Amino acid sequence: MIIGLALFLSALVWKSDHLKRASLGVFLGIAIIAMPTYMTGNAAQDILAKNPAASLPLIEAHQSWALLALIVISFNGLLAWIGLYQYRRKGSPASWVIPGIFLCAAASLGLMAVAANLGGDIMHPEVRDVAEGRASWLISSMSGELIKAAVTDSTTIWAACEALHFMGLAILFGMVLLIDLRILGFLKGVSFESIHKLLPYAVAAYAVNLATGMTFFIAASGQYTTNPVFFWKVGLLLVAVANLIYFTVVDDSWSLKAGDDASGRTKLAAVSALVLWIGVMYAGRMLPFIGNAF
Amino acid sequence: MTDFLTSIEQLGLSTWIREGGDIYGYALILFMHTIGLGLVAGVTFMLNLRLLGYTTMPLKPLTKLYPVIWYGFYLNLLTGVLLIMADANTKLNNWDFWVKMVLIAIGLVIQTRIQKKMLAEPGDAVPAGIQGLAWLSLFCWFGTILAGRLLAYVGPVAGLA
Repeated sequence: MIIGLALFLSALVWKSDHLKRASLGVFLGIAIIAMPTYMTGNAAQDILAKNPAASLPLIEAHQSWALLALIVISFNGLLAWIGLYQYRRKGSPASWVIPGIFLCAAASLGLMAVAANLGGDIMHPEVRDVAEGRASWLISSMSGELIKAAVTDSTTIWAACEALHFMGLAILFGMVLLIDLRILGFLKGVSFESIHKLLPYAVAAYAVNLATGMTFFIAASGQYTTNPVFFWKVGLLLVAVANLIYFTVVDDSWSLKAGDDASGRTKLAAVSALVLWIGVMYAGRMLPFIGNAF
Repeated sequence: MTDFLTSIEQLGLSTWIREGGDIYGYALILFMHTIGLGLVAGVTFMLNLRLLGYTTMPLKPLTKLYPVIWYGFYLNLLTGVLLIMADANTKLNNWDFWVKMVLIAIGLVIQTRIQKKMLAEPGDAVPAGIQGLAWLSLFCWFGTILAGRLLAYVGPVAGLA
């Protein structure tokens, strides 16, 4: 994040569009890996909670601030994607994108500093009294535990999230099919630019599925962190998202006019998109059957 | 009626789907049902966005996608019937299931009407009066997803009773 911010600031100083685009790419990459990073923290929490030397209030405080950081970093990733998308279509991002990214990047750095500080104190009994005293007001602000309680107490929230998750899935799958059918030549009469115009709907659907999916994860993390199919789902998802970013930015697909044949590399990317997203759906659908998640 | 539904549930095929404990039974059928959902709702979503003017794709090549929607529908008709056979009593006695069926029926009628209008249109213009149908189509297919997903939560639910 520091590297991303440094790159971003130097891009602003030198007014370099290349550097700006590169820093947007870095922010987007950070946002993508922030999700599994948060998840491994949850898995570690389950193990650490059994260790008497670890401080439970500090673990929870660390977790809460990490969650806030994750939300801001993900939002920053969304802004970075919008910036890259607008660079591709219009040659420059809208006026609100760059300041928004600056604010989010600075805020997430602060949130991560707090989370890291709390995390560092978890296994240090000598500073525990001071650290826990500081932590008490921090925990109450926003806690994964609160979300967990709200979601597990209410079937309505869970069911609504499930329904939204499947609607998002349908939109993403429709987008991937449309891109693939064009790239592979079935819809050759359509320019890629006119399909590219629909990408924001797919990214909005992805944002909905990330939010609802993280809600499931926070509410019942134990059933996911011990489930091998879940690792497959997240792993495939990371590559699938990278694939979607490929089709957002590269010249190969962007320059395809009606009637043009796609390059071999782009066709390979299209085929892998379909395989990856079907893999994500398969692993997701199998969560209750191969593992034990509901 | 209950006797009849129970006799369906006790067919060899239904029992295997429900209780086979086999990943190729209930789980795989449910996965195929999800793929079909993606084909019907996902492709109609993209086509309806075009009809509503949110992008500029030429209309003629897109008519080639109509069969894709119908493959998705037939896949879900088949997998849906298999899923009902496994849990005939709970599904057919659930009001939410019938909401879902009505939405699908309206969705299919609308899709047929959209296709008829589009194929009758000689140029590359959006035919008059199609935007209302496009909105209704979105409502029906996303309503179907909602009603379908809620089958696991409202009314009689298999396995939880």
